[in-house]
Amino acid sequence: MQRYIIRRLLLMIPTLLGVTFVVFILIRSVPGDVIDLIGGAFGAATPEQRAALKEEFGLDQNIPTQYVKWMSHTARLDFGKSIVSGRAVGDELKNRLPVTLELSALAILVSLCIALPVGIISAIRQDSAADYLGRSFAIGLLAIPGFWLGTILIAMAGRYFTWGVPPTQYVGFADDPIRNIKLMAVPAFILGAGLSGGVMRFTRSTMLEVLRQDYIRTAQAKGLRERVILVRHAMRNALIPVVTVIGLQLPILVGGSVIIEQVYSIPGMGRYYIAAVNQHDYPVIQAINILVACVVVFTNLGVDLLYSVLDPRIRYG
Amino acid sequence: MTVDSQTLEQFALRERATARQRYTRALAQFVRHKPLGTFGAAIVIVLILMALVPSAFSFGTSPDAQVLSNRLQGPSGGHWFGTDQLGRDLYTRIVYGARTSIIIGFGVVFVGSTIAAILGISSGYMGGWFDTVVQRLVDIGIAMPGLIFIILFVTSVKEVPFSHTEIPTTMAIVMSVGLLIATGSSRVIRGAAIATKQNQYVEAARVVGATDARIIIRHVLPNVFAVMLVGASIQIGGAILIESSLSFLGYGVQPPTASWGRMITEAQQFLVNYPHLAIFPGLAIFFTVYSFNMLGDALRDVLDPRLRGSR
Amino acid sequence: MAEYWDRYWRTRSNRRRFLGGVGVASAGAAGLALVGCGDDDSGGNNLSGLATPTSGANATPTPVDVFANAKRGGTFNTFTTGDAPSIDPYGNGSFQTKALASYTYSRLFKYNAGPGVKVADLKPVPDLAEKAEVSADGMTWTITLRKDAKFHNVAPVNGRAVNTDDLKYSWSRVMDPKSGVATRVPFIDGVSYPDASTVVFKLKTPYAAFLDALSDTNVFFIMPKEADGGFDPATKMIGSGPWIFDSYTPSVSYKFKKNPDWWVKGFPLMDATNISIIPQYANQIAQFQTGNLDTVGITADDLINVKNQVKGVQLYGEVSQLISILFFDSDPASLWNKDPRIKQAISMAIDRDGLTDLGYQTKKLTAAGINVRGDWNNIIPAGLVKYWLDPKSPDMGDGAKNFKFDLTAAKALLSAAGWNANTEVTYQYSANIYGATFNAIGEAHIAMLNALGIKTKTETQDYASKYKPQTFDKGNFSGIAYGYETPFPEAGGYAAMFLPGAANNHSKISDAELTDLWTKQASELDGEKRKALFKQIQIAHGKKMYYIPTQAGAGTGWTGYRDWLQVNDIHTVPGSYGGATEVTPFWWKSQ
Repeated sequence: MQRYIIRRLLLMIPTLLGVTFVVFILIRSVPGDVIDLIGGAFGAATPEQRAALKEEFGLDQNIPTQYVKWMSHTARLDFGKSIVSGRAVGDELKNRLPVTLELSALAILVSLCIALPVGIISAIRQDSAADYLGRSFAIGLLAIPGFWLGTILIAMAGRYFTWGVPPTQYVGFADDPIRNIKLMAVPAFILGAGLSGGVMRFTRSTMLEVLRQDYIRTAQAKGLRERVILVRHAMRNALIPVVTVIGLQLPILVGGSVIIEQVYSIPGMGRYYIAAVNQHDYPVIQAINILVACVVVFTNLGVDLLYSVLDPRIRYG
Repeated sequence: MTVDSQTLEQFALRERATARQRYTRALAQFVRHKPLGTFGAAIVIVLILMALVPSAFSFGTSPDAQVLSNRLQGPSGGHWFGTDQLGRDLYTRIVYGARTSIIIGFGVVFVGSTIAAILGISSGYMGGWFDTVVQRLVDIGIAMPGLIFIILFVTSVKEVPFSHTEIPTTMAIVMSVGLLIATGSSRVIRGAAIATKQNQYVEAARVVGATDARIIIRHVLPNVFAVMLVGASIQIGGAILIESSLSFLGYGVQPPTASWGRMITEAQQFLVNYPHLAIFPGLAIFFTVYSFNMLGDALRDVLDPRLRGSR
Repeated sequence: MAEYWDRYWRTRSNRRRFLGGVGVASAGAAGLALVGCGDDDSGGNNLSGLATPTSGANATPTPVDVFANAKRGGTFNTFTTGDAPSIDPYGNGSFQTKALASYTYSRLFKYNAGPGVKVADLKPVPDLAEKAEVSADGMTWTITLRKDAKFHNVAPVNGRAVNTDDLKYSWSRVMDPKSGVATRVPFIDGVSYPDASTVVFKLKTPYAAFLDALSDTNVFFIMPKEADGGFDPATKMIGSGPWIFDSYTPSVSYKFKKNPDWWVKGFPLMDATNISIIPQYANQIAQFQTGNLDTVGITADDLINVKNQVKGVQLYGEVSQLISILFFDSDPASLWNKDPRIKQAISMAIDRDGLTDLGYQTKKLTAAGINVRGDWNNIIPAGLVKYWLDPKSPDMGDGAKNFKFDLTAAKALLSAAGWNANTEVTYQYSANIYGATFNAIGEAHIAMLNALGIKTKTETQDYASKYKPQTFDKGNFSGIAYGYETPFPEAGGYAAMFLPGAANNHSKISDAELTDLWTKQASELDGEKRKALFKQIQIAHGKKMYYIPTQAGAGTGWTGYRDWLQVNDIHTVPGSYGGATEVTPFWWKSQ
């Protein structure tokens, strides 16, 4: 098992290198020029000025050199400074990552509360009215565009029910939990509802699989009550794979919260990222990219390990 | 009782007829047992038709016909869904918007499935160092933050490198989303390919002298096809949602092309007073994604033996 | 670039008369509210310091007791649509950075916004400076700092007096290539600092609008010299302005507290300013409706509803100083460069009233009794009231018919010019920078061109990578382009669009009559004569239509204030982002 973990950790390195290198090249192949954007309103800086700017941001060297330099800084957790604002990227991320994580955690919670009951009931009563209703509902939630729902809710709240307008400014959970939840509740619901469709589907299929197993039939033959069979045997086994799906939702959320953060004025990583892309702010883009990639890769590993812990049949050599 | 040629012929004819009847019976069963899936399929067919011949659905009205004096009208007899901020008929724009969504949806899935199949089958079937290398590349694709990569791709890749041919936004969207989906699905396909490879009939085929290509086409492909089909129908919905999200952020299809996502974006400032501008495109996205998902679910139920009901 | 500015600003001024200009907004900003400023050519050179918002001899005398009932205290709740790219005033050219800077940083001069001051009467008055003197030949300006100018009582400056060392440091930031500011002041030859409170500017040529340049929020903010090593201006703002920087929470808020030591005694009236960062319009309006925001920008479509829903809301409308144009490629083989009738025909096919209604809801608002301007841009924007000639006026002469919407005549003209109906023209603009009104009008043009009989292929271009550097700056495109012209401090900049060699001559026009008129106005000191010259320019251009003015930017933009915010007719100076210094310290809240 230990060897497995070490092997996975080692394999992570080329993956992260690959991800960051692809993004590195991608953002430098944009036709627009960062220097034009920085140079103020008139933008048409003289060649000497442009050269000076290029040198300051290290953009005058060739790409492999830039990459190696960046990688060596990042390995020491020095994410550099934003080209546009001059502020340390690491500080910004320190403030924004917890916000996005909190939103994601709440969204996952919401999605579970919807998906698990619906998926289980749909499986137990397959092809019945409850199945169709439940599935329609979960897929329906998935199909609603989140930004559409969010914008409509806010606009209608402003006009018709002002108690429903979210608080003007974000506060951290530690500072004011009630206000924080008031702000995060609706966006978390919208995000979670979108996720619940996929989780519901997966829950339903694993549950169906489990219910066909022989040991369930044995339990039925033994005369156990349906509820006992469900809880003691079926659910426990069915929910194990669902754990893996939950873990895999996290990376989707970190990227997908971009829009909801914009609509609800939440100071998360998504907004920071969009602004950086528009302004071609290389250090920020690269930093967020590697951060999210790390989250993805570590979550995958964690989920696989959790899976092996929960299901004794799975063993990694 | 001898089996003469006439009997054989009749037998063959009956078999062919039965095959046709089998398909019709299967279809009838699908409709009966999977009403939601049928409903979804019906809508999908309508949408595809809308994408192919929009003018038939819009009765010849153009989606770009502006009548500035007729702006922001609510739904009425003359304009079923009302008019937008430039006086264009909203219903017509929604019909033409279907084309954008379907093209992107199908494009993404086509690109994604093709790449996924190539990667997954070759990787799973060949095994060895080829498998290891390809899987590392797939790892990179899976670890790539989704929306982040797509936005970067769409904003950066404006030209084919070293030539000066421009890449339209639609194509950039299709390529980037397709690539991302491909990496994830290729894992699943690889799993199916490995499972098939280990089957006895494959070994038997090889013993008989079948080439790798023949084995892949005759045995591996049919097995992964079901998995791909189900995955594809669901991914179309996701691709359409991604396109509308990109449009919301300003990176999607550009004006004046009708796109549901961008119609919602443009409707934002009119939301309170003219909600119909956002409601109809939102419903369009909703029904489209919903239908594809329902169809996919029903297909999976039917094609995956483990999930069949007690019938 | 330098010699262009030389020619442009070749003016001679004497000690007492100079033309008033207006502060300039940063180019490419999205739909700003700017209004043209009048010129001031009576002896209104009262450059002595202002202790109260009463302005110089020229302005309407205002009763000082406007503030008699003022309540002090409270927090001003306002908003912005996004994080300023940098909080270092020289860190970025964006108007957001400059608007933010005017909370904490002072300029040498500012605009004299005050109760009852009309837009036409706005002019530069001293802020950090006490007085300014100009030499007889107009080439040397001597400016003395006020004696009571102090920085904020915050470490490491701790409330010390402002001196010329700080000016020296700040000017070095102006000249730093990274700030992009130096290109705005090419007429300045050098700066010297004879003593701790005197600074001398030497100019290359006499420059009438010099004080306007010093009042321009895009140019010269005074930072303490400790910004170079003592503290990091990218993370902290320390200056001498009316507001002291309290905190900046990225993507959440900027908070400021009032500066009790500001030399305008007794102001700011409110204790603090709280700026919330709210990107979405729907959320902004919702916060305004609940009272969480004291002010908001309102679209013309929403105006009536907000008026009805929000009790006692105060609405303020302003016409921006932006002109939008259709401009053409400079290829001599293009048909429109061979026959002027094509551009005239296109201009006739533009339904300007329709566009104005599209962008600014003129019909609906007028019907509801709201006073809204729906004038047509000429080659000088409608917002620049002092110089603008109404295309509908009889003075316009022959060119007037080119502005009137007449599709039949336009089609006839087009076919007379021999236009081939099968020619497909590329119509390009940037849809990801200026906002919804601009985009809507851009799309409306397509239908109008098609109705005229011109086949178009639309190409939306990314602003940063294609539209600005290629199409707009270099004129490197083919077909028809649509965009905002860079806002200029003065009418002369707009007229430079057809000056050979000028940076904003996108279509590379060269016309003897217009060039001659331009040269005359650039050196004309007499205000009335100069106005007449601009009138002639607009008349002459109207006949030839090198650039087709269209309606984006010509309508009224709206701001709403809640009833408890007493603004006393003191409104943001158009074109100047110095509102935090010029305006908000004089507002108060009645509850």
